Amino acid sequence: MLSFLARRLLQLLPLLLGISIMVFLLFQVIPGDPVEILLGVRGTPEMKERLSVEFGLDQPLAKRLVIFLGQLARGNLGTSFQYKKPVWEVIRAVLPQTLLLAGTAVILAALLGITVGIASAAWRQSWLDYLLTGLSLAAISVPVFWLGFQLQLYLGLRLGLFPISGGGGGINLILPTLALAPGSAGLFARLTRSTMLEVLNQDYIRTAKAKGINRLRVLQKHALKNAFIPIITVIGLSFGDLITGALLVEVIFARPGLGRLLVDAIKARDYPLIQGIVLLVALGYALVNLTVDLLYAYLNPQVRYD
Amino acid sequence: MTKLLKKMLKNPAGLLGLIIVTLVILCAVFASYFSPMAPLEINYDIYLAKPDATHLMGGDDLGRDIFSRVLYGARLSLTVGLVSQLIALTIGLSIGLAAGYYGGWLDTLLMRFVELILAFPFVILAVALVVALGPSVVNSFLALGLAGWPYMARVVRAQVLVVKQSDYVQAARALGVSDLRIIIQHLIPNVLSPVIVLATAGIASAILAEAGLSFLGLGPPAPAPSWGGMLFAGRSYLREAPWISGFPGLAIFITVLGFNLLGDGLRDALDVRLR
Repeated sequence: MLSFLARRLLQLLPLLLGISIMVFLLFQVIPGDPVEILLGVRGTPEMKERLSVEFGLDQPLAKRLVIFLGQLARGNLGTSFQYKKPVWEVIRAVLPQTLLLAGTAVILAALLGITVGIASAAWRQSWLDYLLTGLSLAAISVPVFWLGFQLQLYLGLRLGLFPISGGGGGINLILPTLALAPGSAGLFARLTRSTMLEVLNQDYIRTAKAKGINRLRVLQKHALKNAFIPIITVIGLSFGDLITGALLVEVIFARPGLGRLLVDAIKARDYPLIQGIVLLVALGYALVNLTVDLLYAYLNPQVRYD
Repeated sequence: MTKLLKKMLKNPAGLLGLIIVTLVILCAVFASYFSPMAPLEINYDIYLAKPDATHLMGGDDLGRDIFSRVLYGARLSLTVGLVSQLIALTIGLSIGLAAGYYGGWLDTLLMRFVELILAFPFVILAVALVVALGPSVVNSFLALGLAGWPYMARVVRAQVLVVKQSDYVQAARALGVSDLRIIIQHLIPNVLSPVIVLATAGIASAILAEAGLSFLGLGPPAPAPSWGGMLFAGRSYLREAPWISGFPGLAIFITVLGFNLLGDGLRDALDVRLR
């Protein structure tokens, strides 16, 4: 296990480097001069000159890349145009809010999705299965922002049950979570169902059934345990969708977080901040995938010797 | 083709998907026949008007007919879905074929690149691309296509690795048939099924992602009837006129559901296993 861990960590380094270089290059093609954007119409040539030197924009591309990577290694994501503060500081202030929302939603989605998937598989080709499969597909297809609006309209404005905007946890978290969770829950349900059906076709399940073991016990003892590994993988892989969804949901519910930060940054053309958010999400995604791989290897020893 | 259609007809979910998608395409093609007003035409009598018999989906905050705008919006959404998937398909198919068929260092290099792109969540990469290219309709096609191909490449490569070992490809190679001919005659037809299934589901996610981009302020500029843009614009009138954002959102939902159902139906009918 330890050598596997070391190997995977070593493989992570070139990926992180690749992600960083790609993000850097992407933000180099942006049309327009960042200094002019920053100064607006008021800028004098001297001010432009001074800022160019300050941002290192007078240096060649390769040198700027090296500087960028060097700063990144020390945790420096650059300075936000809008806030005139380090990008990391701006992001750090709201990051817990986004993680809280995404975390709550993934827990709800996993509980809901896995339960629905197991029920579908256990009573396959019954009316319940058709209903649940249909609902799962609908949940995947529904635009998260539209669902958010409907929740705001009916549960918030018409019935007055929950606040329709605001940050933090508690009651403010309920509607955003309800908007964000269904998409992932639908995905988990579909995967749980198909994995369970596959496992239920295996010989050992048939043996267990032949021995006369109670249906629920077969499910719980044999099927679920083996279906669990692929399910964990998908939960990890869905992190990307969840974060993206969380960004949209935050905008709808006026929650402070990465989403609002991103929208404001796009409006203000605050490129260092946009770049920082994109980079952070991608790096976070890579780390989540690593964690999933490690968990996978822990649960399934075969993987370690590949 | 007829066999495929017969199989599809037996699957009620796939059939429903086919019907929805056909209806949406008809709406897009005949938008000008069905819509009571031009999508940008302003009529102050229907300012925030409730849906009624002449204006099926009501009027918006500028006195435009929402039903007409939703119909025209279908054009944009379908084009986004189709064009971006065409881009993704072209890149994904070429890279997957090259990596799988030639193998070796080329395979390693291309697959490392695929992994790198897959390290970005789809919409986040699309956001970065649109920001880099500048927001416009064409650039959102490009961004969604450029963000969407890696998974396609991976599936194509895996399929090519299997087909490459088959006797007929080995025989063709032994006979000295050129690589290009093998690729066109033997490989492409054999990788087509998973590609079609992926592209159908890909249209659904591209339509969703485009709406998401509009929502983040990176969609086509304001008066254009884009479903995502309409949804976003109707946000401020949620209390007085929920239909402004409600109907475009419903249109996205139904269209995406249609493509997802169709994708599932095709997957079952073509017997494709995606892992």
